[in-house]
Amino acid sequence: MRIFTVCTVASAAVLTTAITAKALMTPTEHAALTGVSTTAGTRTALGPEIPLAHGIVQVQVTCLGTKIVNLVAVQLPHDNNHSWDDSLHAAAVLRSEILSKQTTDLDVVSGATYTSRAYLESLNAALEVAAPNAPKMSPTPMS
Amino acid sequence: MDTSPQPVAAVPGPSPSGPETTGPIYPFVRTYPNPHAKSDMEREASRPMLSRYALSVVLIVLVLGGGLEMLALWWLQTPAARVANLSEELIMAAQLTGLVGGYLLLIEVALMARLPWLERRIGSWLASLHRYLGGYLMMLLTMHVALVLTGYSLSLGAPVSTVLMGVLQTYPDVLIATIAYLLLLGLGLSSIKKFRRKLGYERWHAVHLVAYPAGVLAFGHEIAMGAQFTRNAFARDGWTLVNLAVAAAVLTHRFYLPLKRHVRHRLKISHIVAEAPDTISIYITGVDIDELNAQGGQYFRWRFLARGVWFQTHPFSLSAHPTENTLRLTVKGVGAYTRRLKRRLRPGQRVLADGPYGAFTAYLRRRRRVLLIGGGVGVTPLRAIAETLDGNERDVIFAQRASTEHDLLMVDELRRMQRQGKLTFLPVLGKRGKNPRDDPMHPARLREAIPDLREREVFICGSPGMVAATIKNLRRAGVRRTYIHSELFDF
Repeated sequence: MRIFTVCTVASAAVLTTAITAKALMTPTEHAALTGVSTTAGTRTALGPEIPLAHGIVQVQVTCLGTKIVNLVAVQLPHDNNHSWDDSLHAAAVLRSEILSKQTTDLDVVSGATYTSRAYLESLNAALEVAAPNAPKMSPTPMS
Repeated sequence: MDTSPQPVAAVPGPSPSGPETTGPIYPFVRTYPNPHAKSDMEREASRPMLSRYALSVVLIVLVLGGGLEMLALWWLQTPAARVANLSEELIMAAQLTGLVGGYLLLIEVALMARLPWLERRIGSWLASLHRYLGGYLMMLLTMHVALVLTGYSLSLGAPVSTVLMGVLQTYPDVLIATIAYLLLLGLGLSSIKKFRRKLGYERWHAVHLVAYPAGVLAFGHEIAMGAQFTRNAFARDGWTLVNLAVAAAVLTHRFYLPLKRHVRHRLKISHIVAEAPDTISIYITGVDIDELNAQGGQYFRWRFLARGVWFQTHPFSLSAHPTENTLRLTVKGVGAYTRRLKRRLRPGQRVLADGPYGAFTAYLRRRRRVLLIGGGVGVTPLRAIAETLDGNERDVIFAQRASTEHDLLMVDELRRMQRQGKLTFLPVLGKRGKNPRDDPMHPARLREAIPDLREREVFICGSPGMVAATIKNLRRAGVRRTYIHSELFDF
């Protein structure tokens, strides 16, 4: 019984320490300009990490003036294969929609609501840095 | 890797130097060299590099290292943004308890895989560790389940029941893992002392076998849902490999090798002898028994193929060091099973033996002078150890604890060994009584009976109560704990 208590207390201490230490490390909360190409005239910015229950969403955007020319999902939720498949799908749909329409009027991808919202949140923050004059992306609520 | 003891006089068969003999039934007994009687070189060769205790510490450090590796895996795979709020922290704690719990489950199975080298060197401590870690594992797994549910319900803002149903419907792996958890929970509950007594050894043991399907069922969700494994091929392959290695060890040592041994040795009962009104000795013959490499003091798990007892296996110690074709065990009718054995066993019946197991052998001996203390049927493995101890009547004292002279076991054999000058037989008789001074095992009375008690290495075997009380008395009498070895008759 005494060994059991020692094990429990020790492991609780170890787990708490690990989590607290991790929490004390500063995450990327603000978008940052990562690259400016003078020849092509593009500006690239990395959005902040948006935490979700299944993982993290982080988007990198490349702009030419106020036009979005490229979008890369740097991190997507990958805690399990299910959420990974869903978020890959959502990221692909959102990317093609944004690149083709360049619009604020976007539907969140059904089945990946949280991922889509986080994707747009990270994108908007990145846009602030890359192209301050570009229109903001805003999701329309699902009907 | 076989580090079985290879003492100098270990070659069976008559040799000029002549191994010690104990009588006509046991002609060629391997004796363990008296560590103080030989030259330094021979002594070094006969001793293991690490003592039982040191080896256990090394193994525990290795196991803890593996646990740290699981923590490191989590640390490297988790970005700092993942621990931004309470629900995230709960989910991370769930991941950690899951990782450590999965690892511990693997260790628990590996501890019971009956790896021969570990069984021979560490023996019953493996089972003790298994028991201690078992309760801790149940707590970790319960925490894992609880943390997943509360973490997700906080994060999604939905009640726990909705989250549970949602998770079970969306992820088939988790549904299977939930079944595994419920199986393990039943197993854990059956091991609580109160329930275990009620169930009895056999049913409790049968319940424990669900750990194997549970481990297999849980593995699917570790690979498919474990955030540390899904996108990290290296970690996934490594974890799969470790799991496969443990599964292979279990299949080899718990199924294949016992079956192979059975086919090879073809054990059967040759005769049964009554030692006392409620105690019988079973003599078992077979082919090439010496190749089992069993030592006096070790035990086998026996299955007697007789009506009414064939479906159960029970551990019993050898009550004599094996000869080249005979094993002997001594059984006292204390429970329903042992009484049934007495009624049902007949010469000629086949026997399946799984073993040998146990580190409680003369191999542990480091001192010249030895004291063996046996109580009840615990005398039997000590009787077998005494056969393999090299020494004279001054070196080896065999104390047998009993309340009256009629309760003494194997008196004839012990007296014969005394006549041959192998040991001194010392019956310790009398009730424990109310006054501590009446206890025949009182430290002062022990010192009186055995003046050089402090220079002796002590081997104790008996019921848990008797062993605990004897260790306490010996410690009070000044024997150092490292020189006390004990084996419990308990499950």
